[in-house]
Amino acid sequence: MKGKKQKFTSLSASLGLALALVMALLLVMVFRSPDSMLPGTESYSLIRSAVDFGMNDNLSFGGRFAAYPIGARYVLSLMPEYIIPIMPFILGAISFILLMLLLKDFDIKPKRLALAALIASPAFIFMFNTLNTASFALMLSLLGFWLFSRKSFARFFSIIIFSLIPLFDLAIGILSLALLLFYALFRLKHRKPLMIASLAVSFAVSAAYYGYLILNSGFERLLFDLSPSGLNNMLSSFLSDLGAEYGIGLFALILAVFGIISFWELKYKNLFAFFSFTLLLVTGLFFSKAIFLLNIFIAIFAAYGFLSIYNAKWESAVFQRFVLLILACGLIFSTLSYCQRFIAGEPNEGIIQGMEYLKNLPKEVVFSDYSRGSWVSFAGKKNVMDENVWLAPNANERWKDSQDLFYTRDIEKARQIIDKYNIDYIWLDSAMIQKQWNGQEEGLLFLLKYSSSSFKIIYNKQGVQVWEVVSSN
Amino acid sequence: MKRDYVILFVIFILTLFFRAMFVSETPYFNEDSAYYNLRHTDYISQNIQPMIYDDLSYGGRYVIDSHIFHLVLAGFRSFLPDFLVFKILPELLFALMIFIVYAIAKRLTENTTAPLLAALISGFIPVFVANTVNTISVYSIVLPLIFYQVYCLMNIDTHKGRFIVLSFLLPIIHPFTAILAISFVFYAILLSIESIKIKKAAREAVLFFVMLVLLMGFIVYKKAFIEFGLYAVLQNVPAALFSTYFQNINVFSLIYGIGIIPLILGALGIVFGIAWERSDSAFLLSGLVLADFLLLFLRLINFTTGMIFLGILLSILSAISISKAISYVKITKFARMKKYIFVSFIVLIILLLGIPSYTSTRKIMQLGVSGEEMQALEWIRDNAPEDSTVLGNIEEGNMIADIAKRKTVADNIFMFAPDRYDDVKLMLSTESLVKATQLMHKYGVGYVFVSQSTRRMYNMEDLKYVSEECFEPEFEREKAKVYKLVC
Repeated sequence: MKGKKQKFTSLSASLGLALALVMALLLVMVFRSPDSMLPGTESYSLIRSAVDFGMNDNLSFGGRFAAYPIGARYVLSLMPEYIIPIMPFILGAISFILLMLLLKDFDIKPKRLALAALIASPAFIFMFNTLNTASFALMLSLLGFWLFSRKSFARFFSIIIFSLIPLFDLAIGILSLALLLFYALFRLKHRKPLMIASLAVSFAVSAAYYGYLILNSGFERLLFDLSPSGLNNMLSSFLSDLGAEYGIGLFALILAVFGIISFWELKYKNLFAFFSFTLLLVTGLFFSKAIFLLNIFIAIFAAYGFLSIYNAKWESAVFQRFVLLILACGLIFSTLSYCQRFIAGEPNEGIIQGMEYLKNLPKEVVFSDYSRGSWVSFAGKKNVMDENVWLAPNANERWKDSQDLFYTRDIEKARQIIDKYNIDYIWLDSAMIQKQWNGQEEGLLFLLKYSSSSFKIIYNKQGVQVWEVVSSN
Repeated sequence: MKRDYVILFVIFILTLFFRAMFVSETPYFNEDSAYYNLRHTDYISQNIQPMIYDDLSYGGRYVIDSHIFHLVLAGFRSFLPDFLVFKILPELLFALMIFIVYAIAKRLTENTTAPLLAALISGFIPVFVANTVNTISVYSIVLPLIFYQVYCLMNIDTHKGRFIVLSFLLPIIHPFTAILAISFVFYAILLSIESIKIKKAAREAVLFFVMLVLLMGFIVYKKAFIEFGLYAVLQNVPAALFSTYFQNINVFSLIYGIGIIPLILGALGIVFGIAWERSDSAFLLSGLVLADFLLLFLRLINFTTGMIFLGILLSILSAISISKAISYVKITKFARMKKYIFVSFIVLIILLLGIPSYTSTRKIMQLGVSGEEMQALEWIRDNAPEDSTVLGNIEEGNMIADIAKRKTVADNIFMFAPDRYDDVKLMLSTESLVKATQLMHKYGVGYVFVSQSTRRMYNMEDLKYVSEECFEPEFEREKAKVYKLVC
């Protein structure tokens, strides 16, 4: 009777988990307004470059060599167009199954708790509700690790998989290889030759592809930093509760700390976990993509943390229940708060309609903040600059000119920059105005307002403005 | 024992009388925040619900406040006269600190005299008295509750229920409660450094409290944390104003503010408590001192609030030194003169704490709002169009909104408010008529209120750019002027 009851509970837990997974993966489709498409910017540049697959990108930076990771673009270009929007869901589901298998391999006891914590994490929700290179790379990474731990011949396929990851996302690729190194050094010691082969092939493939990109596009060291600096900004892009686009939930992190404490006595048996966690934690503070991998470790440690609090002998059962309740509420709060922000994230309906309007304009080049570049080129127009600054042509010069144009009140200087890049339109939206300028008459805003002979507003709806540059001739 | 309670009650009455003496001198309040609290309490009394959107502050904005304090005041107001609620009740609550200080000191020393003296000291800390008298301050409930929570933790076995209730209440009432969570973490760290095993129940209580404060903080201030990150704790105070908070701080202001007696005896108390007695409670209080220092050092709390908190803590810790001194005197030949020593100590408290408290409070009372300034604001209320905006200095925004009932350009509640600090400063202190009127048009200013406080703040006699064609003096007295913008 008891066994039957346990089986039933276990089945309900699995069903609940599956339901939660489907909800987490369909968040955007279900809750986001159908007119608002996917949140973020990367989805738009990926879809565009997949549809228009090739080694030349005519719209980014006014036209450039497509020096991007080729993997995701290539895969998406092979897909029928109606599959592309559901790709995040497919990737999410496959990654989840692979992770489940891996947790079984690793003999993680609170498997369901860990998976639940993962599903509820902002990084997971972001990753598998938008199209991004990291989701492809993470799925491959999980597949690589799963194959690597097989006893059968299949393990040799991990060499191919690991060598492909950098072609999808270089950062995730490098970190996956570092984790593979730890895995073979501390856990599957007898697989060192396979690890060395995987590393060697991966480095060779990466060197060949990225060498080719550098040769064709030239390398310029960036003199500006798009990611904000300082401790507050670092934490703000690391913790979702402090406003990160995709980050770690504070309460998941706290639970993970408890998990680590509970594991501390067994640290020498779990060197792989501790080394990987430390590496990803440190890297995650500086490079946000590491958060996607770190998130998995956080979820596992958080599950152990929860279990350790639950199993510990407390003097006061009231405090124990309250602490567990608070931590669970904290996790739920972090998730709900993030979901609310994520669903309402940019681009909003105003921006989408602005993009539609832009699409139908006759001229070509649109100037805006780099963060709007992907949307501009998604609308079929050339941007002056976008977020893909790595290996971009004259990135430093374009950055400087953009900043000059944003903040100058000198119409002659503005004209020079406009002529230099053949700018036809200027795109402004309320969030960009708020981010870029302090006053309503600062820099370019002043020129747009008072130089009617040079600029003409042609679109002004729902916070989006499109200004046409009046020809000086 | 009974005699101790009688003495304690006498100290309480003395403290309350000292405070009430100042309060009864004026019908007005010392701080602008008092008018903020008054206005919100008024609103609740009239509408039976808190104000969510404030039409007057910054010309209209959402209010980020849990309003617990206003609800409490509105509750008392339903059966007590306004004078008792707004003038006497805050003083009574501050005076109640005496009992909590006594209770903690008693727990700390198990002596009979030392806790009484510590309670007496805490009632007359100059910075505490001067900055809390005649204000309707949320700290009147926050400080007693914070220290009571400390007492509950010290007696967690018997006070668990109260500890839990307060843990839920405190973070909602005021974010200053975070200091307690940080202190508890310091307490745990200090004990672990000293290899002292923390009582299991206390450890569980600390964990519960810290987690709850974090959760409540992130729920209540979610929007602020997402927008400002960790800087949310600075409550969006403009950088220019923030730098002035810690400008005139030196050792002498510290000694004068806290008082030499609690400063020396409290510091000795920490040494005795930690190094000699290795008392759990002393570690807890030292954790509070450390947290206060840390937050002051990082400028995460207002300097005055930090000093008040430190003063109370040191007065509690003084009990340890006093208790040691009493024990020492008992075994020396001075034991015969213990009455004289006691009287001398009381005299010292009067000289070094009572008198500075009186003078600094008197000084602050003199700098408070005058009758003429109130008349000026009442004139605006009775004569200015209802939708007009009044410009005053940033420390008067709430008073203008409450008394004149008109829109303000800015006030000192900065969270989610547009940054207008520099513009207000420029409008009031510039010599350029063009600059001033440009900004006034931008903010729709109809009237300018020039008070004594504005004159002092910008070191001027009157607005430097006033001209007949642009500004009509509508109300003119020695201490207050109201100009109407006509150009």
